[in-house]
Amino acid sequence: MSAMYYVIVPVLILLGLAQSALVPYFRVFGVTPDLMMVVVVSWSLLRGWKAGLIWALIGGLVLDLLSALPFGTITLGMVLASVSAGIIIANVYHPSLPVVLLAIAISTMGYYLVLMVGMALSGWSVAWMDTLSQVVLPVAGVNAGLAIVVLAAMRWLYGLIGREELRR
Amino acid sequence: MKKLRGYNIWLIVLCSLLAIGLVLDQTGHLGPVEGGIFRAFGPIQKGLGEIGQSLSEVVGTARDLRDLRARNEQLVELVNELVVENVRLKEMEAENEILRRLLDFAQSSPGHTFKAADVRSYVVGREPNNLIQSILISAGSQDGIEAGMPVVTERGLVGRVEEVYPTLSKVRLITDPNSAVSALVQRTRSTGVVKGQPNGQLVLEYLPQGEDVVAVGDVILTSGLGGGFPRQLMIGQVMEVYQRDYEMFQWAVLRPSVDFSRLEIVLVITNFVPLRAETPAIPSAQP
Repeated sequence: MSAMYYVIVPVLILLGLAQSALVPYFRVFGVTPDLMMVVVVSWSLLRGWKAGLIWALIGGLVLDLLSALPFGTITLGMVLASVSAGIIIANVYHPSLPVVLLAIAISTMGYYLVLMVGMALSGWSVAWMDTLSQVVLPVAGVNAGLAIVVLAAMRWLYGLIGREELRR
Repeated sequence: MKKLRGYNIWLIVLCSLLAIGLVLDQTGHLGPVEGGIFRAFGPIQKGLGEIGQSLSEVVGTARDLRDLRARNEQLVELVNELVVENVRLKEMEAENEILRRLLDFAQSSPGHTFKAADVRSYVVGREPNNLIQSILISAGSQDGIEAGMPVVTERGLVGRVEEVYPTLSKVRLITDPNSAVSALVQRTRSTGVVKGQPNGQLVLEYLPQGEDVVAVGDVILTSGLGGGFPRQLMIGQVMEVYQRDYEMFQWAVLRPSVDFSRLEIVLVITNFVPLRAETPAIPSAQP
């Protein structure tokens, strides 16, 4: 396993803590951006679904430990979101920024759909239409907006990792 | 010989002047002489004085600068300490105000026993997704907290303890979509159920149809029905009423009495045991 993962694990742990303790301060249109999910999916879009899968597993496990949702729900949602985004983009020739942002928005909706199904299967009451209209759609837009900044940072990181790998 | 003569002449002149001056001083006639001398040398004296003063100021400024710098550093340090102290005192004042209000509330509710706890909702326990509304408080099983205990502030109902850890507890807020609180309209005593919405709003549902059941501005309290929460805890105030003749019930949108974005200290009601639904035992037939 690449030594980079020894750095990524603590970074994703910090990101998870930030998602829980810091990001809720920055509500946009009444919803909190899903920083961890956007980072994970962005990595998947840049490096492919296999690389994104590892990040999704690590990030999802961190958030599952912090969440009251049934354990594994967030991990499953994040894995599906990042893998599907990575596969879709891999099949699009020369994806433009709007296409990438659309992929982020669709991944967000898929992510929340998985969470809601997990809640329903665990016996939680889910207001499907209200949740979709009041939470999922707004947060999909907010995450797509956040992705503009996150993608730039991920691209820089991608370049850094690429140079390290060439040196080896 | 010339040198000696010159020297002797100076000696004689000076001694003479000295003698003259002594005589004039004794006779009281030295004043005018002195006045004349000062008048003659006054401008020079004044010029020299000004030069001396300037030089003195320059030297003094350098010394003062050093002293001022040291004094300034002391004052800056003192100001920093005072700022920190001021902030601490303001926080104490704010906390004191909150605690005083909580104490007034606790004293006005003699039937309940309370346990105070700080809210750390935005530090550790905030749910990392948009589907659940919950906070983490700094009281746990070691403090006698149990799952199901109601959580309140002096403003009203906050939620219910959901999970308990040794030193922390997770509280589900009443704005959570999976929260349901039996409630009543204070004015008309009509009962309903307050539920949280995905966007954090509160809705009072299952209000019976009819005139004057609920109106904008009505205060909503817990009814105690079902045993989930104590009675007469403030929930919120009606903002909008939705009534349609073809529906079985009418419903209302509430403004919560508690500002969930500014929760700092909450109270956990520790002597309230929520009723849990039990399946009644079916008696076996006698042989």
